[in-house]
Amino acid sequence: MDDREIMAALAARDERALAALDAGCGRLCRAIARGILGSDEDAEECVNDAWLRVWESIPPAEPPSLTAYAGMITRRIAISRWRARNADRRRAALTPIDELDELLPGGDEVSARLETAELTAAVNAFLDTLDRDTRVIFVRRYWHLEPIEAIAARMGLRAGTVRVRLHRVRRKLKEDLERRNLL
Amino acid sequence: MKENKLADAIGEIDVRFIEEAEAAAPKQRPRPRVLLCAALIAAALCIVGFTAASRFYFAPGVGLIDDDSITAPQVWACYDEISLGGAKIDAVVLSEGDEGYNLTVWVWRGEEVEQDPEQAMQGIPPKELSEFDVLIDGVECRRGGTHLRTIGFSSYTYKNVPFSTAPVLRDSEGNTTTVQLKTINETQYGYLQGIRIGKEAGMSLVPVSGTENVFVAELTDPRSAEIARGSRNTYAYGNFLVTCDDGTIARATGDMPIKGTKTIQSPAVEITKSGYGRGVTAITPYRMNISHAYDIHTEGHPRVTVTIPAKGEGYDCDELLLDAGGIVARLTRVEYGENGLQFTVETENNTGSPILGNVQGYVHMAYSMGPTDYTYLDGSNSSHEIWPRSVSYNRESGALEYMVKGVDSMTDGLWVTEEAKPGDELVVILDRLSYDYVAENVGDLRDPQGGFGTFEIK
Repeated sequence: MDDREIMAALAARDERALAALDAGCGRLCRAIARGILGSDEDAEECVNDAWLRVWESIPPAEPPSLTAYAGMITRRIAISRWRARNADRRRAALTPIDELDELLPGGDEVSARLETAELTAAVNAFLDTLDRDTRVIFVRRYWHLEPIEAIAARMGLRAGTVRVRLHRVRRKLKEDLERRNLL
Repeated sequence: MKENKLADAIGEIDVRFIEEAEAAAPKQRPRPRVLLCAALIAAALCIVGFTAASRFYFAPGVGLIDDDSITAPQVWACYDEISLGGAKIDAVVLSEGDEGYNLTVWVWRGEEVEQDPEQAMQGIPPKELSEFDVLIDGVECRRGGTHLRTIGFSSYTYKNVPFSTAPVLRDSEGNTTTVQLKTINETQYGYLQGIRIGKEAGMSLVPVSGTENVFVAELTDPRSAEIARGSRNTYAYGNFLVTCDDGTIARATGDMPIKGTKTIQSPAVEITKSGYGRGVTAITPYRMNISHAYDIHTEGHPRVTVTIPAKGEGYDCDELLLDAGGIVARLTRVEYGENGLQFTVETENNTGSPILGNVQGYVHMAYSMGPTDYTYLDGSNSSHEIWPRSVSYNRESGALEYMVKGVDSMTDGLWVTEEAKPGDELVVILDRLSYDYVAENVGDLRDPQGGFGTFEIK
């Protein structure tokens, strides 16, 4: 089934849609969840929850890309679980979320000032200014939450190069957000 | 609970960025020489300088010509299978680089290399994969890039190495082997082939693997490159029939990037004919259809402000959306009908090319430049002056669509549809342009009308 057929099956409450969804998007979603939660079991549970959310939200939702939509829901669920699990302690290893924390600390003050949609619009505009490779590195690190070494292997770069590029792009993003009075 | 709005915001970025990053992902089992040969073609074609005053053309039998100077790529390769420790060297290729030569080695591992789970979590590759060196005259070369897999093909690229047709490869255990590189035309099935497309464009093909019938292709097409200048992405897809050296006909299909444009395509053309294997020395195109498509979306092209008409109404207009490479696209009508907002785009083909046709322009997106009202899932409303955002209109419902998050980060957002409001202004740009090169029955290669033909790059 292609995306349109899966969405039609979801609209018809046809459970075969979930099997098709798993066949089409399962690999990506499991990789996203595993990257955040660090275990296959947690990732599987997370993806199952994501399928349920997709089932509940389509219809009425009509996402232009089912893969991106399913990935986004999985990411959101996985991050929520990661936050719940790490509410009172921080993991030893620096995660992509930690890197973003350094850039834009959480907390009530910031949360009160910013709406996510406003930030998303700014991030979209910022991504458009990047060259393609840097953009892919950024998205794979902070959307897919992929390890740096894996990104380096994928892009044919050294891990150190990816780290430097990410450092630079985070700094640029910070400057960009400051320029827009979002920080 | 500590939350990070930025992480949430990045989770909701435009789908096109996610698709782009997905497309950049490697295939599960990459074909060994596809990426390598793409780099070779790019390097080879980069040898040819392009200036505004000079004019490229392709001529049969003599190669790529820039006015009076004949240029040719310099490539040395070894496609012999060589064992090194537990791995197999599948291909070694040396090509000219900016400051010396670039050497790429493809290594096949049939047995999965063990990996420490903790290191795997951190993305640290096993020693067997990461420690692989090339020595030239006893000097270790600097590695410029790797593509590592615990099973299957891994590739190692070494930049700016000294010229040598006998580099030494060394694995993590200290095993070494010397490979003998030959000029690519001397190898059994490593050759370059050019296909002329009309009078002004050409395509290069490099066989990747005789057994897999895969070629790497790249289009050199100044007209398309001009149209695509600044575009977010280009696609060119070829579908052609070819006569093989044994006289039979095969179908060749696949993606072929256009030189000088941004693309996320993998440059692979596959010939689907059983038994078409190693030892093939030539194919001749018999019928060809190459479809080009561009995601224009660039600030380099005009942006047109339109007013949403009343529902059920529309108005004619004449607004320029593109004028490049002999192709003109205009927005000629805006309608708000039963099927939603409709933007009519008319095109003119002033290229004079006898094989270029089926020019079509599309507008799929519009930009909302004003303040945006959000209605959250709990029913509360909020209005923000935000940066211009893109909205898409649903061609069936006519509504504007965008993703809005829930009132807190734990609540899912929904795709929100918003009735297009008559009188509101939207900014329209040309989203996509497509056209085809089509021709049949290859005739005289010197046919002034164009057509297709092959030539060998020597």
